[in-house]
Amino acid sequence: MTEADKQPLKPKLTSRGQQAEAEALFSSIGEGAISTDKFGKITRVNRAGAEMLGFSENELVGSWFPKKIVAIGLDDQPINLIDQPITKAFLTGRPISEKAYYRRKSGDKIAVAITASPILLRGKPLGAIEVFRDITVEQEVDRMKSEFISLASHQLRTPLSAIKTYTHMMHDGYMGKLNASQKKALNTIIAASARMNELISTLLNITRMESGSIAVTPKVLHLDKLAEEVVKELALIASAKSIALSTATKGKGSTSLKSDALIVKEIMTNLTSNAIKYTPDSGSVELIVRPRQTEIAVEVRDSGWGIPKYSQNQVFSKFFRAQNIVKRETTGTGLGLYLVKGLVDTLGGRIRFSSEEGKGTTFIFSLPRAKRFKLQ
Amino acid sequence: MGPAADRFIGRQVQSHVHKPPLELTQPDLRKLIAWIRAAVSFLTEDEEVIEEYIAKLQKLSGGKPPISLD
Repeated sequence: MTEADKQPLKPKLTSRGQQAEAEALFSSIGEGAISTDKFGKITRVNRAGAEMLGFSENELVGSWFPKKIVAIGLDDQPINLIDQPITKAFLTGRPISEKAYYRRKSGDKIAVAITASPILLRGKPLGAIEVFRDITVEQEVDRMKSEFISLASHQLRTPLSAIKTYTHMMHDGYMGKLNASQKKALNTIIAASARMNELISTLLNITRMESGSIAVTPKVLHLDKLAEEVVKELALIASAKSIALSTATKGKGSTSLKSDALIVKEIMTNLTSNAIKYTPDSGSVELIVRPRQTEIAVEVRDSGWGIPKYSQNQVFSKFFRAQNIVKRETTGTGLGLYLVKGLVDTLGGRIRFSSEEGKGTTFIFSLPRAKRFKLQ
Repeated sequence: MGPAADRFIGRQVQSHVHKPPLELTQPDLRKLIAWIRAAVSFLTEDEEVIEEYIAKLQKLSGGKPPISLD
C-alpha cells in the first residue's frame, strides 16, 4: 500500500471559485446526498440529507458511513453491510438503486429510494456518493391504492355472483321458457359477467403480486398433465373460433417438478387464452412441454396476428396492448402478460417470446427443477 | 481466508476485471486490490484488519503495491 493510497483523496479543484461552485451544487440538491472517501468516512452531507436522517451535518461528517447510516430492508430486517447499496456499488463498480429504510437519529425509520455510485477518478475508486429521497408518501399512496383495488374487487365479486347464478338459472329454463331473442340477450349478459369476473381476478392477483403477498405452496406437479387440463378447459372457447388447440411433450426426461400448481396453471391458462384470443379463426394453438436437465420449459405457440417489432419491448408492461390487436380485439385489459411475468418471477422462472407479425407468436416460460422461489 | 472471502473476491474479479480468476495477470490483481480496498472499507472500520487483508492479497500480486489512486 503506497502512502498515497492511505490518504483520502479529493478531486483537485483548481480555484476557490470551482470549489465554492462544487459546494453550492452539492448543498442545492433537493434530495439527500452523502459523499464518502475511499475509507468509508463521510466527507460531505447536504442539508436535505442531514434533515432526513435527523443528524446535524457536523455529527455526520468524519464518521464511518455504516456507523451512522443504518439501512433496514423493506422486510424490516437490518441489511448486512455487504448488501448495503454503497458496498454493492463498490463490489460491482456500478451505480446501485434500491429501496430501503434508514434509521434516523431518533430511532424511527424513514422509507427511502437510494442510488449509490462509486466516485471514479481515471477509472479508480476515489469514494462514493449516495443520493436518497424520502418515499414515505409514495409508499403510503401505493399501499392505499392496493388496499382500494383489493376492497373494490371483493365488493364487485359479490353482486357478480348473484348475476351469474340467476342468469344461469334463467338460461337453463328454471324461470320459464325463453324466446330466442331473450336467450341471446342472456348469453350476452353471461359473457359480459364472465369477462368482468376475469378482470376482477386479474386485478386481485396483480394487487397480491405487487404487494408481495402471493402465497407459494410448492408440491410435486406434472406440467404435461397441467397442460392437458388447461387445453381441456379452454377447448370450448377454441372450438368457437375453429382453432386447433393441442398439447404435446417433446424431449426426454421427467415433466415433474416442485412448484405451485395454482400459479403454474394461471400462467398456462393466461398464455393459452391470450393465444386463442389473438389468433384468427381456423388457426392453431399448441402447448409444448419440453423437459430439460435443470428446468422444464413450456411453449405456447400460436398462428396468430403476432406482435409488431416496434412494440415488442413493451409486451410485459402494465396496460400494454399492441396497436394491430386493439383494432381487432377491443376487450383486452393489457394486464395479462404483466401478471404472467410477475408470476413467473415469483416462481423463480424465466419468460421470453418470439413473434412475427402476421405469422404468430411463441411464449416460452421455464421453471427450475430445484426450488428457487423469489423471497417476498 | 474462508469460503466467504472466496465468494467476495470472485464477485470482485468478475465485476472489475471481467476475466476468470485463473487468467488474472499481476496488473489485473493490482487494479483489483484498489477496488477491494474500497469495498472492504465499508465492511469494517478496523484499519488493521483491512491492511492485513490487503497485505495478503498483495502477496498474490507479487508483492508490488496496488496501483496508485493518484
